[in-house]
Amino acid sequence: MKNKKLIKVVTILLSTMLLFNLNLFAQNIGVSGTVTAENGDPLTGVSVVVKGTSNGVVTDLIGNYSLKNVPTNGTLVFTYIGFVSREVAINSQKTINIVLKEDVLLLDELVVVGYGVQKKSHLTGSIAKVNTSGMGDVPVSRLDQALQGKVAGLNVQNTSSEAGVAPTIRIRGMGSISASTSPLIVVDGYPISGGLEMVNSSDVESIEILKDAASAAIYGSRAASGVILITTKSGAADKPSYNIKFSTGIKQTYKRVDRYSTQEYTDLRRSQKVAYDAYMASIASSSKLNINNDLAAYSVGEKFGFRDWQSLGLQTATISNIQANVSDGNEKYKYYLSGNYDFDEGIMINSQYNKFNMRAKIDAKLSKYIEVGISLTPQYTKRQRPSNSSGGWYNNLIRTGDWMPVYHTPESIAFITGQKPTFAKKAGDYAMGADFSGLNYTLLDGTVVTNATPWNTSDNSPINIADKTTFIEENYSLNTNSYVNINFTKDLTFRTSNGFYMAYMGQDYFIKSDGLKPGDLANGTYRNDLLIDLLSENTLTYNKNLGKHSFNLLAGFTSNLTKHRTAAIAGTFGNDYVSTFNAATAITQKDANGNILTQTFSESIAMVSYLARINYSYADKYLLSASWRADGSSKFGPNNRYGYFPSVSVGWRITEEGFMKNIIWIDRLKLRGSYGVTGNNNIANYAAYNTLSLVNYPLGTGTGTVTPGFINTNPTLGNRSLTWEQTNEINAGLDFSFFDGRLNGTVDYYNSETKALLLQQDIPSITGSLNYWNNIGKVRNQGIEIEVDTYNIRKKDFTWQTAFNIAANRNKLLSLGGTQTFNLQLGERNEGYAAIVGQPAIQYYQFKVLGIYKTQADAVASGISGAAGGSLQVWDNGDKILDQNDRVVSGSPFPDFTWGITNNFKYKSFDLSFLIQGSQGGKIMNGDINYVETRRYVKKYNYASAWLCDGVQGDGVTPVSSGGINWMWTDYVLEDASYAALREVTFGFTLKSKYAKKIGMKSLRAYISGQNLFFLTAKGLRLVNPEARTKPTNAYNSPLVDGYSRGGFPLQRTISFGLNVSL
Amino acid sequence: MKNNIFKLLILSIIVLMNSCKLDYLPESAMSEDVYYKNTKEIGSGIIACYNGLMDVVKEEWRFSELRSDNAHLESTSSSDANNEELRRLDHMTATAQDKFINDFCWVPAYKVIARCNTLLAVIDNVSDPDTKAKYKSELLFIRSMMYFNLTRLFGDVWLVTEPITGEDALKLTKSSVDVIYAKIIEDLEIAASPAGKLPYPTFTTTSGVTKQPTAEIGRATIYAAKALLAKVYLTRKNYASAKANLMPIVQDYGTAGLIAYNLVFATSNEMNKEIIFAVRFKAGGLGIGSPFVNYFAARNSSATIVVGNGMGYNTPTEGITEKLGNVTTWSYTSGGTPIDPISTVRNLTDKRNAVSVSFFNNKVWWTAKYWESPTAVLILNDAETDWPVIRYADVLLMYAEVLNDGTDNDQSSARTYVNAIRTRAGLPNLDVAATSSKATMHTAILDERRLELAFENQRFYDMLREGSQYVVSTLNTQFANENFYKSYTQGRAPQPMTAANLLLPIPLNMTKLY
Repeated sequence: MKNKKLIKVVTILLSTMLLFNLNLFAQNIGVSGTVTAENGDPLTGVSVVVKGTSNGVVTDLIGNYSLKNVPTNGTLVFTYIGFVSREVAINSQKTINIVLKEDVLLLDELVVVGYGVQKKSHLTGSIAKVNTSGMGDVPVSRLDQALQGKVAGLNVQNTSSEAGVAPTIRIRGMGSISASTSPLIVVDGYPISGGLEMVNSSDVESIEILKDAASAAIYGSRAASGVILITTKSGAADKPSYNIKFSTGIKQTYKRVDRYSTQEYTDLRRSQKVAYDAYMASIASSSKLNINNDLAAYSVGEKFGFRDWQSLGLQTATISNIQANVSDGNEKYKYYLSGNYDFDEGIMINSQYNKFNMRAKIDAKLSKYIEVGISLTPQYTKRQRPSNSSGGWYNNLIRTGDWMPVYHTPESIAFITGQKPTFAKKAGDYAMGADFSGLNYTLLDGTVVTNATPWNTSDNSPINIADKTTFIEENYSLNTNSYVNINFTKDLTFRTSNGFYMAYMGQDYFIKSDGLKPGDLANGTYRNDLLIDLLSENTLTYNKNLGKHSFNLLAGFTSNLTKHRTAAIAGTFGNDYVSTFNAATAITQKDANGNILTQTFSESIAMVSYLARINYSYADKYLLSASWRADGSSKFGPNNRYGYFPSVSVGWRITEEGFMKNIIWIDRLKLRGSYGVTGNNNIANYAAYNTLSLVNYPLGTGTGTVTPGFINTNPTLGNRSLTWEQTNEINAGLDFSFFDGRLNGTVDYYNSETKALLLQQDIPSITGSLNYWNNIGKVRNQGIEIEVDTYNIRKKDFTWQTAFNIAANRNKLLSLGGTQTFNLQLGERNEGYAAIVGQPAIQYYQFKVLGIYKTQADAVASGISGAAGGSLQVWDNGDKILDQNDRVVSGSPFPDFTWGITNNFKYKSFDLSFLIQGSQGGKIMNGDINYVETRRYVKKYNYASAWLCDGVQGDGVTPVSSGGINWMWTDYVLEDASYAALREVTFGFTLKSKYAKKIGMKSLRAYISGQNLFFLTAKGLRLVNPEARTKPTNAYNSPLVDGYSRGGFPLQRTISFGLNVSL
Repeated sequence: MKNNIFKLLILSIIVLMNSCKLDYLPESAMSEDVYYKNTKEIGSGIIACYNGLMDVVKEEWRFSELRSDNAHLESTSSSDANNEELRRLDHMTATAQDKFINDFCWVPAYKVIARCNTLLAVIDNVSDPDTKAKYKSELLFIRSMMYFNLTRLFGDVWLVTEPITGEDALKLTKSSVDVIYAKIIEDLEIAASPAGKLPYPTFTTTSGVTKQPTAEIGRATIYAAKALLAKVYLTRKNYASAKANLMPIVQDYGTAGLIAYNLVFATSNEMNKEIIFAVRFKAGGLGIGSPFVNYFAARNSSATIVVGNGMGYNTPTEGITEKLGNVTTWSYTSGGTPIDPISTVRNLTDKRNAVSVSFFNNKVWWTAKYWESPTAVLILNDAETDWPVIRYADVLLMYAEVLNDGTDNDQSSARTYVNAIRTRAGLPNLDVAATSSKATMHTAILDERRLELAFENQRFYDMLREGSQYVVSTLNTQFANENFYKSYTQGRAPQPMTAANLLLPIPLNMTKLY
């Protein structure tokens, strides 16, 4: 029974396929021929239609077509996306072979806009279509990393080199202050939080960036920071194809922190001691420089060997990727299936990112009226992170002197127990600084030091910590979207699109006993996080052409519900072998600071929106687009739930005017102007409400019984009148194309003002609270973006194309609700930041270094409390007290401009492309200085020239590492973050299709690609990565603080080899 | 076909539009909007008000005892930012930017006030009139305690008596000390009156009154309200009203109300008869333990004094250690500058000496009043010790002061009560001749209060009650004469203070908001 059914199914399938083939090859009456490209490659899928009829076919795999019932005096129209259409008169010919030219102007290229597509030539907003060709060759495991430097005004910053970590993405500067400034990411019409991670480079059909508010306004409240639209590939009718892509490469640190060997350091200390002691003797002082601990450290190295801790903790990593997809279809059904596997090792040991995902898209045309489709994207990722404190761990690595052994040997144990008989470690155990404390050392040169402590730390060595730590994050997600299109008439279409996005994250953190310090209990944290996002979008579109008037109308309704559930459990364990909580000996409810560690939590957020848009063009010359959206969000108080986001934009295609027809060198010229409003509700949930927490109090006899109480303990007071943050933006642009498409470009100017900023505003503490979310203040972003593409050489065998983009944004704080200066001392060292009205919203606010106190007497004479010889001398307003009044604005983290230039060369079968990308201006606060320069062995920047005493002043500008004002409060730690990087280089070879066919392939391409091959930074930069930004503590969550970098992992250089095969 | 699709479509859109709602209240936290609707819920809010007092008294020593002549900073040399702030408090030179004043004094006090105000605004949701009166009295008592502290430390402050928004708060101005006191007295008169329905302590000998249920021990009683009100009146020099509020307690407990001095503070004897009101703490990793043992244990004493080391805060001055009966020897530089204490001779006749202070490692004095044995404290800053706010000994000494300073002018009766305290301490009675005048008796009471209530955050306020001149001269004498202050180097030594330094500056956050 079962077998019969199966046979039936197979028979139907086979006969369908046969029929389908017969359809293509059996009709040989009439006209036939081959369509090829200029280079001789056959073109598959070219539409060949008898003009004025519906009689048409598409070309097959080898570019052949054949048509019957063709009138001998008719005309054939050949059209193919990306190529110039051609019309050929038949004139009784039975064979018509034609060559199609590539359309360099891409006049009719379709651009995806919110809730629809539009011809590029008819765009009125500022929308950048990203050139995705070659994007898959870049050896990165995330698509967003491949966007760096590609689009003016799109700033992608790899703030961490950790494998699989999302970069920071900004479109046109920082619009909001407290609310999130990440752009909305929409994949196939579906806004999802996991956005760019879920898309594989070879699945991408197109990427569009909606930059101006008018283009983004159709996304309303979530679009204030711009929108990135991604369209993935679908099956194409009559175009069966299989693609396999494989690449593998290695990653290495570009540059490590430069440091002394113990040998060099000890030599330096010895020479310093000679100079110091000599000076002291000259002034009849008995003071001597004590370098016993340094000598002891050297002695440990002499006895037990030296090793470089950076080499121990960093590795040459591999990155591999394999992608395969297959697509096929006919007039009724189309499908696209793809699979992807990424393996991305980090350059730190124990750091790894694995990604596996699939994508299935099925589209079906059920009848003349109804089309349906579904797409499914399951994904699994696993990330192993290097250690709990990702910043601190690398710092520990560079702080550890090369004399420090990793493990004890029988010799080291014998040496220590010889003096400390109770020492309990044995050979093979991890060594730590404190093991060598308080011992007597005899150096090989005979020097003897007694009771010396090479390194007084109670912390375990970084390798020990890394070996004992497991930190694994697993993500399972599924994005599902289905649609039904109903075409009531040719012009009127209803589309309902419904889907859900589900993401589950499980995170295991475990550190074995004696993990960070001897005596630590084994402890761990397990966290999971479930996000379910339900979305329904329903739109009605109507297209009409009435003579010269052409309309496109859109009306829609969307509804969105997001549910979020998390659970976390923390505790300590009795052994190191089982890290699941059945084996926990105690559960930790709160940490020492009262932060809840063990909990479950849930929240729901809903949004309802109504939208409408009209696109109108008159004679393809004058363009108008207007849109309107209303968003209601559950995040705000009942009184202010709805926000309204209108926009209008106009365009004038000057080249369509009669008077332009004679100017032949101008292919295309279009002026655009737009005004739009977007919003932002991306703040903490439930900010409108006061919520209650459990607080206890002991009552009753004896030591009392815990009695529960409930009260609002949140330092943030609820605000019922909270509402949308609103950005109003004006955009003016010019699109041009000259000299037969050799010079193309776009220039945009924008001015956006964000008002009613969602700001966590301080309120008088007499309310019992410290702050509340309020709509206050105003920020302006103003900028210019230029993109220029040129075809420098366009020959049959050789082409050279250049794409250049540059963007400059100026950020200005226009109002902060009354106060002119908002001064913050935040962060792990209470560094200074300021938000000052009339200036960029974030600036560093520091003491200005004038030099150092060259002598102790100078320091005392300064009259400033705490000043010491060799310490930094900073500007003081004369009152001899260093306080707020002496701090000055010393720079801002915002760059002056960012730029990128890509060159593509093609010679016959070879291609070469490279991207140079950079950021100019902008300062970074170097938090490493506090950790690196003040520690022994890692003072190579300037230690040799540091002040030592009145008589040994060094170079007279380098301070001593202790005493005087905290370095972190001064501009001594400010660095120029400018850089230029050779970001990507790809050299490829594509086998000619005629040869490929001989080995049974449609195409074959092999390439070598490199990333971060060369990095040029500002002179004297003391950081190993100018892009790194870290937020080591919660204090950095303040929106008015940015640009702090500590423990940034080194930049990584990647070189990979790849192979793309199409069958 | 086409029609059917159309109908289906319209139907589904209607269903969809109706299914969308935007009312989502917090799920993992109760919203204030849905709570405090009945007696039980408001009752739990009042527990939270008591909880708020913990944060206040934990750090109160910084602003009272440390600034009195009883305590100083442990170290003269530390340039650690925290110690710098403590040094400024000790030297009476605190600035408006200092974080401790804001974070540890101002904000916790106004948090408690806000909690009380939130509940007072919904107190009508309590159905039973007696419970409602009692709850209201507890809230007024707690709030008054906060305002009493604030106005004594800062002078004019903002008087907030109902829940306010951020905008309201920006418009409010400060109220004068007189207005604050008028409000405190008005509120405490309600709480201390029979109509306030506060219960009597379980130890009362008065018959026919409602006693506090044992499960509620630790909550305010009518005696707590009366004693606090008496202290307010005494501070305002209204002796008659102070006496009226103290008398019922003294008559009820008599001098037999005093128990052995060392047992008053023992964690095995919490909420004993002498504790009129205390802020209670509980050990055991519950987040409601007290930090005093770790705070006050000698610095770097590691686990010899308490698990988790000591911070050395609230170090006893030479003045108080001498008064308690100790003679300490110091080491000096060749130039005669004091360096460190090196030994001490202790006379333990005064039983309060051994309880109150201890000498660690022949080097440093530390406050031992709240100490528990090292094994009793298992987690840093998580001890059992309660903080006494008003003790019966305080009531007796206040009563003596009222009898002496007030219209009674009765030195003999006053002496009886002071002697009760001295007898318990193991000391002889006051010399009659030396305490026969109002002034000499007053001084005797003041001295007794200093020893009896040492390190209980009473001394600074007692000094303030003597008048600003007294504080200025006492502290300046101490700055000039005590070895500790003389051992300061590098320009950190205290400068003579003036009456202008008496009040704490209002935190900068209050005056420089945006």
